[in-house]
Amino acid sequence: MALRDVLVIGGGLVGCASAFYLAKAGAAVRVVERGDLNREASGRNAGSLHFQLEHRLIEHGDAQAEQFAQIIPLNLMAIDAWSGLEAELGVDLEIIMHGGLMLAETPEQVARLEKKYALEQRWGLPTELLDKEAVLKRAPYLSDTVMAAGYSPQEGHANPRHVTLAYARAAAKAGVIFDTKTHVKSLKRDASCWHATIKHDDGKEELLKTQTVLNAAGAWAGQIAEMANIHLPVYPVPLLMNVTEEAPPLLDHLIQHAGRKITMKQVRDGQILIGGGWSSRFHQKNGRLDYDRAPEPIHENIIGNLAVATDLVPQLKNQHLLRSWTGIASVTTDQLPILGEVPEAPDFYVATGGSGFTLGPVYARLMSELILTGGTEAQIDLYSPRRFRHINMFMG
Amino acid sequence: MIADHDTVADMVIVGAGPAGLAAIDTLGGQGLNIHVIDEQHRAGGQIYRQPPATFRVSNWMDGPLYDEGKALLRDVESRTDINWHFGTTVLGLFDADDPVKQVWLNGPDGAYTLKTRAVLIAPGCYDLPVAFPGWTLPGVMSAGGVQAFVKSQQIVPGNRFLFAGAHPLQLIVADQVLAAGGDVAAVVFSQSFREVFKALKHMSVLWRHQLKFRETAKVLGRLRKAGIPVIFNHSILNAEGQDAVTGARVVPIGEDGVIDSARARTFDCDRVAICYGFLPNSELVRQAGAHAEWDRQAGGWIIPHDRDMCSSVPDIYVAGEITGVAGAEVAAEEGRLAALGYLSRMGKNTGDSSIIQRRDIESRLKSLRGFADLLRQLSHVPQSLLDQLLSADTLICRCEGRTAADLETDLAPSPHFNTADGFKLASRFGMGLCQGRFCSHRVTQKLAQQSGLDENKVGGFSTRVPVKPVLIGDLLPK
Repeated sequence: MALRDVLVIGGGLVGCASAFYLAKAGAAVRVVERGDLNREASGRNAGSLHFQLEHRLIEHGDAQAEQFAQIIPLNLMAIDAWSGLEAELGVDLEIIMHGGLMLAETPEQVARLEKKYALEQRWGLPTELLDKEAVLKRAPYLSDTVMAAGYSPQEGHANPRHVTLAYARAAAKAGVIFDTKTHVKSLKRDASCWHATIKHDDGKEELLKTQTVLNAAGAWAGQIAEMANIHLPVYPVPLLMNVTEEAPPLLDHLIQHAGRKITMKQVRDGQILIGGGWSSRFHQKNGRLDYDRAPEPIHENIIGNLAVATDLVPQLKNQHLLRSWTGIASVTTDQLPILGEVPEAPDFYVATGGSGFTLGPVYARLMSELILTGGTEAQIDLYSPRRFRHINMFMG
Repeated sequence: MIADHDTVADMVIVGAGPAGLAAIDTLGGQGLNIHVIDEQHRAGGQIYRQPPATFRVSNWMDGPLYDEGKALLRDVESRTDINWHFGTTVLGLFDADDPVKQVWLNGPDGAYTLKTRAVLIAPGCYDLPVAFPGWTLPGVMSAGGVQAFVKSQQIVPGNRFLFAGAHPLQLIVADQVLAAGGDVAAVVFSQSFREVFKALKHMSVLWRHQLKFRETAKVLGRLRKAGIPVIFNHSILNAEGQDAVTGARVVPIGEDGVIDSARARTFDCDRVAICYGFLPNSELVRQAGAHAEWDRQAGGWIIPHDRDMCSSVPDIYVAGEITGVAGAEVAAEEGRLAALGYLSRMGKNTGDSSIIQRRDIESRLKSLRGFADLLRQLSHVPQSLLDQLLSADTLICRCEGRTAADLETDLAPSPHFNTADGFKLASRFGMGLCQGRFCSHRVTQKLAQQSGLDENKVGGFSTRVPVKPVLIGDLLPK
């Protein structure tokens, strides 16, 4: 007799990892994914493991910066989780944690780094503040327009093509059932449990009874929540990424910036991934945004992204752009993750938003702990969907 | 509102081969703002590939088969109302669904964009990549690649050639190699002579296209006279050599379609030219979002279109090999049809003469497609033959160094993916510089075979900008 049965909706990183931890702890888990596993943001993001406070979180005044600094405990858990993940799953995930630099090129950006550094120290995140000489010594490939940098010794990257699938394989071994090419048609609750109708692509429908639902649908978590008669303020956002051909060793670090949109890293096979939150564009369908079709790349943004990259690492001009691709990430109204049980829908849990790749393994551990024990050792009330009660109070 | 008549083109034509040339010819004299893009430095495409303007080649593309095309090429090339962009690669299409689209180009002076209301995509095809032990050795080429050298520069890129494949083009290229002073070890066809004979029973087609058959017969005669063995029912087994090709082994194919490697024989040669068929250059039009359909006989991913040759994306027209590989004459007719379709949608040229013109083209196309169908039957290669050519360590994805054995093991442990894209993400197949042009055909079929799904369900690798790799320095504003 299983400890508890859980229907996980979404075969991305959070879904597959949660399934793994839940099954390992004795739950009976079924994962339903409408496409292939790892096909959306989990597999399409650029694989950054970033732990420093991002500039978008600290540039809107001290009060907000204070609030966002509360994410740091999750980052600390993530450093632990990633450091042990290859051993835990017994596979090579191309995890490299050689350190990351957040660059400043103006006095204003330097001041922002100083403020960020102070917050990180207060919350116990191990970072350093490097002056120009120290940055260029550590990273001689950078342009000398760099004036300072925040440094996190644990930052780096992992291969998003492998991580989710490794979790999925381990989960399958632990007894998890995967239904890919299967979507959820409806979710209804009665006094004792949830009733989910799922439909396979071959047309076959199934009615599942489950005690617990975990909504791990990422950018589509809002749509899934609607089936449970709940509003979740999570929005799909269309992003753009670029990758070069295989290059000789050039970049040692994860590169971020205190004022410009850029992330850069060189993966083990030599390609350099360039991203940093540049937009692509959703197609429209009947006057609405079409979240079911790959967003369209924007020419100006490809060029804009590459211009920042070559400003910082001039040698990149000699590399070929191999591919630009688009993907759909998610953002919540307050930019914090949504983690926990929805008060208006008992036994309906959500894990989405925030830095979904870097924090994915942590979300998964927390959700498994929360679902199976009713609480978590770490304090995660800040991220609870409870904060959106005002949106759901009229949903009868 | 900004009036953008001056800066927005009416039509951008991608590819100045037979389809593009015919479209230009039909669109002429209408006062349209037309841009033509081609990677080569002169018009003509692969079939009418011209030597550089500074070369004088006296016997360039002799023979009656080429006369009509050469005349059209001369006419169109001299036109001054066309904006030619030679030596220029199309990197992608943006805003394809919008009334004004953006074409991303990389020319001799770097990257730029063109705005246009309509696009005709006619980029032709490339040789079907066939993997066998030794296929990545220097000296293994496609027959199309050999022909490009001979046509454009009268240079024979090697000394002694072994041709292996299933497509009759290899006879033509072998003949051209001989004429240009090269040596041919043998021409090897995988189909049996009986199969060829069976296909040729369609005498009506034979009669209508007798010129082509007569030319092919003459070529065969010349090859025989030169003592070149033309061998049926055999396949390449492997290319031999340490750093470059020094020979090739050829094996008979049994009644059951199984190759008999014990009976292999070796030919000395320094070039192996492969000619098993062609794949449409459909990457750009798929990147633009056009619907594609799988048709193995027609070359894999082909682009469905309406009567005006318009794809599923409004104002993106297609012509030539990307609607199904069928040769230069079909391409030219389709180019004309696309131009007429575009004109009638613009409200130009809608009179009776255009209706008659279209009817004539459609009737010619019917006959030409009959011939193309016959040629496809004639040159059919069963996938089971291509599968037998692989050994465990044969590279399939040469960019990422993934082998036939890797394909098996990567597919085995995961029942979780059944799309080519999902597989690509997990396995690296198709992620390299060629962007999947070498391996996608095989991976899609393999996945379909393994999952029991239709190729259309499995899909191809998604195509993304830039459709060909480009130097980052070339992309940035100067």
